Amino acid sequence: MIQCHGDGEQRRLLRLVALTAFLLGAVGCASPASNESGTEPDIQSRSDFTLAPDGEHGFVVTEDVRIVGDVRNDYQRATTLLRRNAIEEGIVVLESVIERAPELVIPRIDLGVAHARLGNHEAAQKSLEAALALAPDHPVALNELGIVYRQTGRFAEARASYERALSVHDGFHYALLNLGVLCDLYVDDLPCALENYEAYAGIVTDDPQVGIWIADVRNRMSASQAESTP
Amino acid sequence: MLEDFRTSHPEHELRSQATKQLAVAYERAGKLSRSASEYERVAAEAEDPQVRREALLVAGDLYEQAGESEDALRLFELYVDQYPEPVELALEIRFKVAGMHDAAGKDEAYREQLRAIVTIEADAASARTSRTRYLAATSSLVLTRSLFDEFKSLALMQPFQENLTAKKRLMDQALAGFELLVRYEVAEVTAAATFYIAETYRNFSDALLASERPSGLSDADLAEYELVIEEEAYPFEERAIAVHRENLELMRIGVFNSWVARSLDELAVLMPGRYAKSEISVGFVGSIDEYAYRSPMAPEALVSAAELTGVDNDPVSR
Repeated sequence: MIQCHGDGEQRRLLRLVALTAFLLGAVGCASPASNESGTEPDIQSRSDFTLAPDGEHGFVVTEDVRIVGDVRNDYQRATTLLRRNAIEEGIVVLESVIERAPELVIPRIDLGVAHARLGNHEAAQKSLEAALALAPDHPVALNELGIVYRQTGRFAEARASYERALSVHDGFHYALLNLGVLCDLYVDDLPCALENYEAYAGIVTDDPQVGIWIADVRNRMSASQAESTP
Repeated sequence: MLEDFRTSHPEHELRSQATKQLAVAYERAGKLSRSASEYERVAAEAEDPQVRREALLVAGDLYEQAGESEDALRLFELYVDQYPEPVELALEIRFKVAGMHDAAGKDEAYREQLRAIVTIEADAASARTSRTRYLAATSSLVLTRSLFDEFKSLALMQPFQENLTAKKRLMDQALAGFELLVRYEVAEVTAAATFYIAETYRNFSDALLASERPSGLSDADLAEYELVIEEEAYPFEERAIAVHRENLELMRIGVFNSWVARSLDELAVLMPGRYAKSEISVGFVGSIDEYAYRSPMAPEALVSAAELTGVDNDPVSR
């Protein structure tokens, strides 16, 4: 369900700009993903994404782009750093990847996750929103942005983000759990919490915690019902 | 050239103009310290009080930007002494002075400024604004937190009764201080005060449970003593939970800040079944052009989604 927008010519132009910038070694100036003021220019959503069901229980999001070898290697280097918890160093490498390949979505998602881990909510939000400007229905970007919105008290936006991820794949267990937590702790919508916890428990059958959470929500709903009954 | 003119014509009527032009020229040239010193001169020489006041502030700001914090502090302190009005600006500068003392590790000077802010604001009558309320509330929070720290640091060692009386007295003082903060009606400070009220009760409960037991008790007497201590401590923990939960009510009116999040964190410890619930992040994708999601309940579910997608499944902090 990831949407196809934009046209092929625009895409080719974007890649040409990125490649030229890379060859000139002046990526910071030429990249369409950054400008002098540090704000993101309008990013057009791209058409070369495919979201394919992978059997009944999954999906694959693929970007059909040509990636220069150095960019791929640097991305792998960034991933290694991030997984070693060298977050700040990983961010530097990711930013360099994004400057050279501004059309790629996943480095922007990873950058958002990295900023979120450091508690840089504003930078995380900016990066994840930029990823979604390219791929409006990317479930991972939607899930991570939902978390950032919740952390910054924007509960309605968080809910919308999780719900959009679930509209892409209703069994995306991350968004199910996160929507449940949001409804339970932050917006006091117990039916929503129960529905999403139960859906999550139906998928992640070996999570004992959520069984306790479901029981807790049911108890509170019963208590609330008893209170409202004359 | 302007400096030469000023030196050679110390009584000339255009001398003050030369100083102003020098101040601006140095500022434009990025010579902040030189510019600050010229603005300071303007402040000293100008006849118009408005010009004197503004030049003093500009000079202070420029010293601060130039990293010359002692000169900046000297001018800001001069400003608050000479210009108590307008109140809002004076309090703003005093708050800055307080922060500079704090950064320099001068605790007593820091607190003196905070106390002055609270007093001046309380007496400001119609000059009070939402900003002055915020500055006074924030200052008062810092001062009241000291009471909490003092209360918290007192352990219930023997002689128990003596220490208990002292701790109870400190608890009452801290609670009264935090209650007063709510009157400022500043959401962030209200949330902070509520957090500390809850933590005050909680600390009292914890301190009772950790208190030094009297020596010389038989096993049976000690067991009975333990029961009594637990019974005494329990209502304070219950009160702590109730007050932390009051903080969560702020979310219902759209307030969510670090204090509300901290109350939630404490509740997660006190009532884990109810509150220890965190979101999960997918984590770093780890593949530059593809994300593959497989549900944990897929037929090949013995291979986890994490292995397939490189997900970290990280719990998220508040």
